Amino acid sequence: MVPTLVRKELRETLAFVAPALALYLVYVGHLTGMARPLARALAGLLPGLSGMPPDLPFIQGDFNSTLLYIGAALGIALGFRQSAWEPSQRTALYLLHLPLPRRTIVLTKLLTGVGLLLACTLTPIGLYGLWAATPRTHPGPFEWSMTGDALRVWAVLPLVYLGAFASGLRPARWFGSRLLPLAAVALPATAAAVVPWWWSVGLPILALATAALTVFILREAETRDY
Amino acid sequence: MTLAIATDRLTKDYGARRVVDGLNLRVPTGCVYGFLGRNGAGKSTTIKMLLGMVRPTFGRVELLGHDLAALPPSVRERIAYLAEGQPLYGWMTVAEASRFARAFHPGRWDGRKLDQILDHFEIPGRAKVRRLSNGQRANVALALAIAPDPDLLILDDPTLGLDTVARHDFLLSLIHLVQREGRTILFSSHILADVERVADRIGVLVDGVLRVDCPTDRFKEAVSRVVLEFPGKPPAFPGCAGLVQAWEVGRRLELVVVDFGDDQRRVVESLAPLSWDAASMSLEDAFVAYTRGPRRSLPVFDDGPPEAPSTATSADRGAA
Amino acid sequence: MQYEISGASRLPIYRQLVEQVREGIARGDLKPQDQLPSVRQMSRDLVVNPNTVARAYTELEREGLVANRPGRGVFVAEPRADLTKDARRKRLIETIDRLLTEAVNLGFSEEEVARLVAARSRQFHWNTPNSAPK
Repeated sequence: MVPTLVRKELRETLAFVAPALALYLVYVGHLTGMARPLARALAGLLPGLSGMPPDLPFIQGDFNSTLLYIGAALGIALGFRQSAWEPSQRTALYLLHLPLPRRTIVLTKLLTGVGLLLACTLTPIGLYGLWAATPRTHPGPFEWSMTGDALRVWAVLPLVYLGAFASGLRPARWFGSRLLPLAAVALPATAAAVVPWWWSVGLPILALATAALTVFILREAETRDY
Repeated sequence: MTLAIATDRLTKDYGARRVVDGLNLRVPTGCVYGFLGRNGAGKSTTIKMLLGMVRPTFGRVELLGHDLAALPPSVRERIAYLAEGQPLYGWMTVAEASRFARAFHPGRWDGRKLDQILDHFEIPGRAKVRRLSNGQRANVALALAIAPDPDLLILDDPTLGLDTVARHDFLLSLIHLVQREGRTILFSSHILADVERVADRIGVLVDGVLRVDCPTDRFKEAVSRVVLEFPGKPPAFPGCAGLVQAWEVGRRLELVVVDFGDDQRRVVESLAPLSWDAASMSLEDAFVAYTRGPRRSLPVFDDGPPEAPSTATSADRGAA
Repeated sequence: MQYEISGASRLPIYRQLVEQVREGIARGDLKPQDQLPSVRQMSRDLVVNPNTVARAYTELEREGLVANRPGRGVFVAEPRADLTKDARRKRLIETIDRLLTEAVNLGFSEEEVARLVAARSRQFHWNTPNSAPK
C-alpha cells in the first residue's frame, strides 16, 4: 500500500522535479564546460549561466546561491503541490478514506517529498564534485571538504519544503496568514545555514525546527476539515 | 435491529453559524437511506463528519458498531465513500485507477465484478479519468467503491450533474447493490423521484436539524394539502396539530398538514367552508411544502402512529 | 404485461404496483396461474428498491389476488371464493358510491355516467354472466 502511495506522489510531482533537475544539469554543464553552448543559449534563465566558471569549485562563484534558489523554489513547489492541491481538487476525500491511518498517508507524502528534494539537490553537488575531483579538469586544487557549505544548504532545504507543506495544509482566512509557517521557517533555516558552529548549533536548530514542523503538520492533517 | 450508522448529538459550528445541530441519525443495517435537504441544510457537512473528513464541534459517530475516532483500517475497508463529484485522480487511466485502489484492498478485491461494470458501460481501461463524461466517472467511481464488497456505502449526491440516462444507469447499479442482503446505503440527493425509487427510509435535514426520519412511503402518505373554499375572504386559520403551512389564495385557504385526521377535520369543518378537500402529494411537492414551512415549528416525523403526531404547532402559521 | 411507475404520482410506489396488478387482472392481461416477475427482476426492470416490490407483492397476497409459492415464484390466484356474495356485493357498492360521489361533484349527469361506465366496461375481461351478482 505504501509503495503505491509513493509511486502516486512521484508521478504527481514529476512536473516540478524534472525542470529543477534539468536546470541543475544545465548549470553544472556550464560550470564544467561540458554544455557551454547550451548554457549560453539559456543564459537569460539563470544568473549563474553567464561569465566564466570559477577556478576554485564551490568556494568561488555562485554555486551555493544557485543551489539554494533552485532548491528553495523546488521545495516550495513540492510542499504546496503535495498539501494544498488535493483538498482543492477534493481528491483528499478519496485519499484519506483509503484504509490506512491518516498519519501513514501524510508521513508517506512528507518522506517522499523530502527524499525527492534531497536527491534532486544532491545531484549537482555530486556531479560538480566528481568533476572537480577528477585530475586535470581545471587549474585549481580540490578537496571534498570544500563542498561543506553546499551540503549545509542541501541539509536546510527540507525545512523550506516542510514550511511550504504546512502553509498549504493550514486553512486560513486570507492568503497572508496562510503563508505564516513558510515565513516562520526563514529564521531557523537561515540560522542553521549560516552560524559557524554546524554540529553544536546549526544541526540542533535544524533538527528541532524539523521535528516541530512535522508534529504541526501531522496534527493539522488530523484535525482540519476537508 | 443493529445500526450501521449511529450519531449522537452530532453538531458542527462554522464560526458563529451552527451548520448541523444535535443530529441523532440512526440507519439500520440493510437499509437504503435517502438523505434530503435543501442546499446549505448541512447534508454534505454531515456526511463528511460521518467519515471523519470534518471534525464535529460536538457529538460522536459510530459506523458498523465502531467509534469513528478509533476506526480500525479493517473496518474502514468495509465502508465505501463517494464524495460529491466522485473525485478520482484525473491523470490516471481507468486501469491505473483500479490498480491503485486494488492495492489498498488485498484479499477483498473483486476484479471480475469491476470489469463487468466497466464492460457494461463500455468504458475502456486506457481512457484517462480526466476525459470521462460525468456519468462514466460516476460509474467508475461506484465500481471502484464496490469492488472490495463493502458493507456500508455513503454517497454524497452521486447523481448530481448526470443526465437522465446516466442517472438511470447509476440508479440501476445501486439497485444491483441493494440486492445483496445486509448492505447498507446512505445517499444524499436533490432528485426526489430517485430517492423514492431507491430509498427505504428518508431523512430530511432542515437548517441542520433532522426534521423527518421515517419510511419513504409514510412521508408521502402523511403530508396532505387541504384546500378550503369560502364565499368571501377566508377567515384566519386557527391552527391544528401537524400544521406545516397555511396561506390564503383569493377565496381559498390552503393548508399543508402532516397526518390529517379527525381532529384536523373538525377544525376545518368548524370554519364552515363552502367545500373542502384533502389530498396527498407527490414526494417532490410534499418535500417542497415541508421544507418551506415555518422552520422552527415543523412537526417532526418519526415512526410513531399517525394518530399521535409528536409536535403540536397551534400558534404558528406561514406567511400569507 | 408492462409495469411503470411515476415519481409525480401521489401514490407511493408500492401502491402504484398493486393498482397495476389489480387492473391487469381485471382487464384480463393477467390470468389465473400467470407468473409475476420475481422481486429481483421487477426491481431491476423498474429501477426500484426490491423491498418496495416485495411490499407490493405482500399486499397483493393479503388481498388474495396472488399466491406466493415458495421456491417457485408469485402467481396470479384463482378468483376468490372466500368472501360470501353479500360481502363482495357490499364492497363493490362502497366503491360505486365513491365513484358516484366523484361524478356528482364533477358535475356529470346520470346518463353521462351510465354511458361512460358502459364504454369503459367493454375494455375489461368479465367473468361468465351467471357468476355476476344478481
